[in-house]
Amino acid sequence: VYNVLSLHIMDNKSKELLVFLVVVIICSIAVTFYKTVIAGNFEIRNDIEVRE
Amino acid sequence: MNNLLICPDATANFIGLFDLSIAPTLLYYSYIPIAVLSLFFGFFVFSRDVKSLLGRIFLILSFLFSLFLVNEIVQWTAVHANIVYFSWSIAPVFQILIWVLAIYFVSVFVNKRDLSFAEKLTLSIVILPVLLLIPSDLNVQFFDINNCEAVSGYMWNYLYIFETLSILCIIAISLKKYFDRKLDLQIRRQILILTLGMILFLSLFAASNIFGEITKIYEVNLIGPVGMIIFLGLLTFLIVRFKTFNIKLVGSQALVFAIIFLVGSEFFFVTTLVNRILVGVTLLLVCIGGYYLVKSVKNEIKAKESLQIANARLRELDKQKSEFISFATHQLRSPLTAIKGNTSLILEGDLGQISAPLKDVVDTIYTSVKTMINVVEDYLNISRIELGTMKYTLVEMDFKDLLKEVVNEQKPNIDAKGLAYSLSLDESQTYKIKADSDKFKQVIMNTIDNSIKYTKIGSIVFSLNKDLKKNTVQLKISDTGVGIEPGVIPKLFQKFTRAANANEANIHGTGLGLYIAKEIMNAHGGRIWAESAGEGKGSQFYVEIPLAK
Repeated sequence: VYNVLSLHIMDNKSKELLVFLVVVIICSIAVTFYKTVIAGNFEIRNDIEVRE
Repeated sequence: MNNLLICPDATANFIGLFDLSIAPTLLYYSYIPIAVLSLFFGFFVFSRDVKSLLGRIFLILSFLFSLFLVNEIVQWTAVHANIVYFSWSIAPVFQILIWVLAIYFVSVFVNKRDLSFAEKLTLSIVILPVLLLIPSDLNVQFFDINNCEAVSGYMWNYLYIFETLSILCIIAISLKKYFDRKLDLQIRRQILILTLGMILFLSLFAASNIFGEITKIYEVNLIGPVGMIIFLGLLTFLIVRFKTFNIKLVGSQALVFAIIFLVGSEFFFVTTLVNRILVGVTLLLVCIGGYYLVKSVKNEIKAKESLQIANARLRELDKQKSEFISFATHQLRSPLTAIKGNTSLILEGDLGQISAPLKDVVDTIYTSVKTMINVVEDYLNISRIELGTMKYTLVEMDFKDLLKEVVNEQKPNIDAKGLAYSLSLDESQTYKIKADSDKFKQVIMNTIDNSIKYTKIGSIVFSLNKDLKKNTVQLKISDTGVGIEPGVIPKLFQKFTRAANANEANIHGTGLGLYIAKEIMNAHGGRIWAESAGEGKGSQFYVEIPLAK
């Protein structure tokens, strides 16, 4: 992964930017996962709900 | 996971999470092979040169695209609302990253350099809103449980605008480079092919997503990824075309296996015996065709390799020939110069008076030796040009003075043929140029000499003009000579080319003078060319050189 992302040839600024973006993406997906799959915290319309 | 909501009419018949019967069969048929192919090509390109930035970007792009397709399959087949909602929510992450990487990929390919930090930062700022808004209602507003679909929010409009602008951005990057005249034609072709592939891929991808979103007919999305196949095909062509031949073999094998895989996978979706037979026959035909394709590519590689070896050998021989000519002409020039000098002394009476018949003989020797020295000089110049050892010492000079000097030197030859001549130039002006005086003089000498040779009767006009718009000086030599057939003009400045009527006109020459003149003019950043209305209608020779700054 380190090689594929070319981290070793990147300048420090680009490296920091990439790390920042990766952190944002992971956090964003993690929050969405928690909100939707775990907490089920989203609006449902056309109320035909079946609960397991 | 016990509180997961199940969509109506869905049955969790696959690992308790998916209902494979919900999605159209085409989904599996188009998405799974394309995801596998995309990954395969990503690794294939990457493995060719693991250090290449382009290969790395493409690997990540392929990986994200495959993930996007898998996520799409999850959206179609998941039976739990929570999973469908989650899958729907994270789709923009893949989309926006694919688009950014597409711009990155095209930019690196076209400009042959990494993006600057400022460019990377700009792209990051543009995609940041999408990444931050993923968990919000602006991404997905609510879940329509009846249709088991999430309903997209306003953020998707931003995404679609970004996608459209990205396509324009890619076109702009490519066109800017494509119209760079300094660029090699082959590189421009590569840029065109890559951009075309990328635009087709992205347009089909975006159009199917946008159309699906507007019409809510999500089946349209199924054709989107097909654009990736077009892109992969064109990319493979590029990689294969401009690298070593062994990769070409691997490329054609990969293509054949991919097609076999695609046709073979159809077996899983056909149910009737007739269809199975049809698919089986198709598969057999593809296998046979593929075998011959790989075989023919192998033969082509062998043939090309042999040609390459032969070509290298020929180049080596050509170099040896030029070196030999250079050596031989050097050796010939010294004794010939000695003969010329001594015969000149005899003719001028420095060694005492000689009888008239003897003078005639010595005169013939002198003329022949002079011709021979010119021929040797031409060959020496040719070998210097071919070996790349021709050296130019540029000095500032007045073209007007040089022209007058050459015309003066050629005056006896003009008079000897009974030709009239006129010189048209502005005496009050200077025509400053930067040139190697000896070599540039040789160009003017060769060109004027050429006009004299090919003009039996009539006149020659020399006119010197400045073109301040082009910042050049142009010498025009018009004669009333034998003229040139239109078909001969393009060949006139090639080696050993002589006018078709040269022999009829009893003109001697090596056919090298104009070739040497053209090479010298090229080295001066100028040019030389000829025009003629046809045979018997005279000709005009032009010598153009930039003005000194």
